[in-house]
Amino acid sequence: MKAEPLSLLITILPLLATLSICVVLSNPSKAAENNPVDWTEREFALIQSLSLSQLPPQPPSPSNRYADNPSAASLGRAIFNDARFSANGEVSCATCHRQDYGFTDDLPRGLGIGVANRRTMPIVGMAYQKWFFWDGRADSLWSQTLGPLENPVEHGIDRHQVQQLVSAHYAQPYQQVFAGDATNQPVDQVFANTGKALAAHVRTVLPETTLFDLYADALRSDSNETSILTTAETRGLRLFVGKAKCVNCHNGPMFTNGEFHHSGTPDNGETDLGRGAAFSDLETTEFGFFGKWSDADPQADGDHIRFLDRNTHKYAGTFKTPTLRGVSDRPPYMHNGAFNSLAQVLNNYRAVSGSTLADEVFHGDLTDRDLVDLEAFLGTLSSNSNDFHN
Amino acid sequence: MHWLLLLLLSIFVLPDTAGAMDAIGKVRRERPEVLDTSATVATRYGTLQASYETDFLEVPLNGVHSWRLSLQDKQGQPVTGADIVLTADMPEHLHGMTTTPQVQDTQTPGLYLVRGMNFHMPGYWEVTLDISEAGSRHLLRFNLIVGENQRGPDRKGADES
Repeated sequence: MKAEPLSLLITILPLLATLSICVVLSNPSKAAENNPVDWTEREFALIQSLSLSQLPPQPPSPSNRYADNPSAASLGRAIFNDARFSANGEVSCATCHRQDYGFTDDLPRGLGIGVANRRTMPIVGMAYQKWFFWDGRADSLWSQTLGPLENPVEHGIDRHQVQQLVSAHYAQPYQQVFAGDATNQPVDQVFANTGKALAAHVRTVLPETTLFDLYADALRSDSNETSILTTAETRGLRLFVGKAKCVNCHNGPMFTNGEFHHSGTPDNGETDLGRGAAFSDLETTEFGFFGKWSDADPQADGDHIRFLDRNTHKYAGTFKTPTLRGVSDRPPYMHNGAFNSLAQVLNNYRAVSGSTLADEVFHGDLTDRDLVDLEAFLGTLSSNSNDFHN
Repeated sequence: MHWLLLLLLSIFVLPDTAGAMDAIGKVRRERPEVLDTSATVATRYGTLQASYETDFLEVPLNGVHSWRLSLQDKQGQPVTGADIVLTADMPEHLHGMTTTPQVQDTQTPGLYLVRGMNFHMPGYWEVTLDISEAGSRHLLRFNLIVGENQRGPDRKGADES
């Protein structure tokens, strides 16, 4: 069918007019609703609670007496980057925890000697965590660092090889930090100490100030420099602390509560019980918080472990809330790397919201614009710099 | 018949769908507009009064910590040897803590130590004490708003939520 030119114009003109009005209305600078500066007291408090300026000094690590020892951190940093600690001489911690990629990698699942069963976790701000790995099966950072070394698909070596490597290449710094000879000490002691040095290094990996932090600081000082965030980013922040309920789990200055939740991530038929299968590991590991090689006072320390709710059914299919700092710089996402973009992540949160999976996957009734604004806000959590403080 | 339906639901449906919830038998309640969040509460006729303290200015978000819990009777005398079961819940979320806090006696009469408290989400929490002592039983409840205590310079305007 061929339309007359005039009738076509008559049909199109009103459409064009409507479209241009829409464009004007959606122009951020013209948006009248939700005046960005007009935060409620609750919103204001939650925004401040997320700010980096609220980050306390690193909490002590009672199970690791070397946690804040600079020489231990220096030794740990060297081992972290040393690919000799692997079965093929090509895999170091830094292979997957890439400093140029937010201390994770760009793969759905980590790739060491073989393919790991989950995504590589970002390690920024680990000093503030209570549980380690996606399922929290390690109860201390130093204990966590030992797992990948002996995992056949990660470093693929064992504690005896670790002892040999430390003796051969780090005998002097080891002696200096641990006041002992790596060659003569029991193999488990050298292995545990290696983990403690690695943990001391990882504790120095801290987040950088982001656009969001500058905004929160400006808000607190009443400097009116609130144009730091665009209207879309501000709307996204309002959704984050309000309707979309993101702040329920992504809370505190590290944007994580470090606990275990359902995210509604599709598993592509590969059932992963996550936290629900981790409690037995916690009890059987010889390198646990209450184990032989821990420096903790078993009476005074470790209440988060002692009083842990170990209901395997309740936590089946849950995974640790990851930090959102730097999140837009490091796809893919989720424990299994299921999504390549934050847009996909947010879409899935909307898709599973209100499903029978779990009450906690409810994220409010989010519109298309809400998702766009939330994604814009998440972009303000990056420092746009790979120059981490370490 | 509703109770029967609930019972059947709780047996056959909820355990498979509740996830990290402990939703069985709970009813969602929104945060009241006005909430008494005082750290001292008493039974209706004042027969029993409870109060708590922590080591912090505000109850911490995401930090495992202890409460010092004091029990007094109507005459202000310490209540010793009470059997106390403490539970914490988020009425808006249908779940409680990721820890199971425990109440211990201390050397001080009427003072109890609660270990393993961990408020892992910001918002409205209820901490309920089920107190049994000398043949009587009381329920006392503290309301808390956690993680929303940052105050800015001269903030105004009511909370809309």
